Amino acid sequence: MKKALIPLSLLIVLALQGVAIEIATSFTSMQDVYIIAHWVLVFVICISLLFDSESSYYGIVYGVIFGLLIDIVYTDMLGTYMLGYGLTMFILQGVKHVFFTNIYTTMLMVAVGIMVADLFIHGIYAMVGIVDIPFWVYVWTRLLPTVLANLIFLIVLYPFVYRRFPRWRMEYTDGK
Amino acid sequence: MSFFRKKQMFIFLIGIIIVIGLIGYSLQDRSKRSLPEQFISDTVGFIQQGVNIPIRYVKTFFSNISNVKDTYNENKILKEKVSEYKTLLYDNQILEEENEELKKLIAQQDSLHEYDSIQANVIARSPERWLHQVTINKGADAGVEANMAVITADGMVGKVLSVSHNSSTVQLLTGFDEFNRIAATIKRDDKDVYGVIEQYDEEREALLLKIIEESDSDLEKGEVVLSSGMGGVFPSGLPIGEVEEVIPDQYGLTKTALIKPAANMYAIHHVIVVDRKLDTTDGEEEEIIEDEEEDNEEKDDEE
Repeated sequence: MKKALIPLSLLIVLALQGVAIEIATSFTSMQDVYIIAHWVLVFVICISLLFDSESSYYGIVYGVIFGLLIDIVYTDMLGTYMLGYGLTMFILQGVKHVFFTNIYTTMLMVAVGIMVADLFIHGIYAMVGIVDIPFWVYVWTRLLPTVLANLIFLIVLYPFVYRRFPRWRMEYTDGK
Repeated sequence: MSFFRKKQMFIFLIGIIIVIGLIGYSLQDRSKRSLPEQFISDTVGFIQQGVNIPIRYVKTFFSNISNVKDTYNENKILKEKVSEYKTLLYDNQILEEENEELKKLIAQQDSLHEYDSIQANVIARSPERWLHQVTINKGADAGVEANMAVITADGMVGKVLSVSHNSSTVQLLTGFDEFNRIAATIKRDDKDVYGVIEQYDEEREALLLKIIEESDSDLEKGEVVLSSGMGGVFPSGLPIGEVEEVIPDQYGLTKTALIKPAANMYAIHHVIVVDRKLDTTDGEEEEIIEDEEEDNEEKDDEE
């Protein structure tokens, strides 16, 4: 039962991020600044840092699966988020052992992860021709606000997971 | 260790091949989603709808509070308007009856203007904001089909992009590109102006209306642009926006008008999906043939 909790909460986060964007746009109507909610990625990075043990790859696997789900639900262009999130988690998997995990390193990882993923997705969209704006305009109006907004989500999320995830990991490894 | 590296490399390459395949598959023009896609977007849509119920209560609560403040003044103005509308209503009824009688005379059942409406709520917006898509809570089960027009009380907001059983995705006007054109018209007393809305210009924040048939007098700022129904998909008479500026195109041969959309694309809650009564052009051809046969029979009878 507990094993299903993580994918289930990821699915709910996936659904909520669309609702949140809808509310944010209807309240602020900020048209010059674009914020993209990468909540699923933030959650997956938390899984990778707090739940994954040395030899498990839940972060990458969830990144790929829920990247694909985002593609299906929100974008109609399959594969971009899947590869973007998968690649990001793959890179973080290599880097994460350098740091001791606390809120600051998690924030750093999330910021870097979102930048990598968003740059990658923007790259693919630019290649296919969906997006056509100068690079620095993109950085100032879309990338930086996106990173900041998602860090706020991380700060909200972190208290819920930073004790819970390591405890679940212990339960899993004990059970095996 | 080297075996493990090889395995990782292998998985990575296979992943890239799959992704390129998926992108190629999804770049095709497809209006109907595949079965697993429908299932997933329906599931997510279900959760979103559940989340939306309390949110809607809170939203209406706050908007009620702000409404109460203006109520007194609004009420005064509205009372005046209501008395105006009463006379309009009678006029309208008379005209409608007349219209129906006239239509019977010329044996025309449906016009381009008539449509069935399907009420829906916006439940989510694509986090990938490049795409300008929103999700609504009605799907194929409620009769929504791809390419139907979507309007709010103010005017047109977009068209249905893809449909699942209980939810569907709407492409907003701000995301329209050269593949989503709308036949549009500006009503004049003497001679209407016809044109095609080609795409949304993000820099100017306006829709580009390429004018095909001009009138003698120039377009003026503030004139209302309506859909003409000639594109074969949308009904006629849906308000799209107002003329902001007229510019010549790059060769100076035709003119392009910048249209400001009538509806606010950033605050959409309740929408109406418009189902044109008259068959759309990609409908079944059999029906048209049958109609022709009936027409012929009628002619025979007359003879």
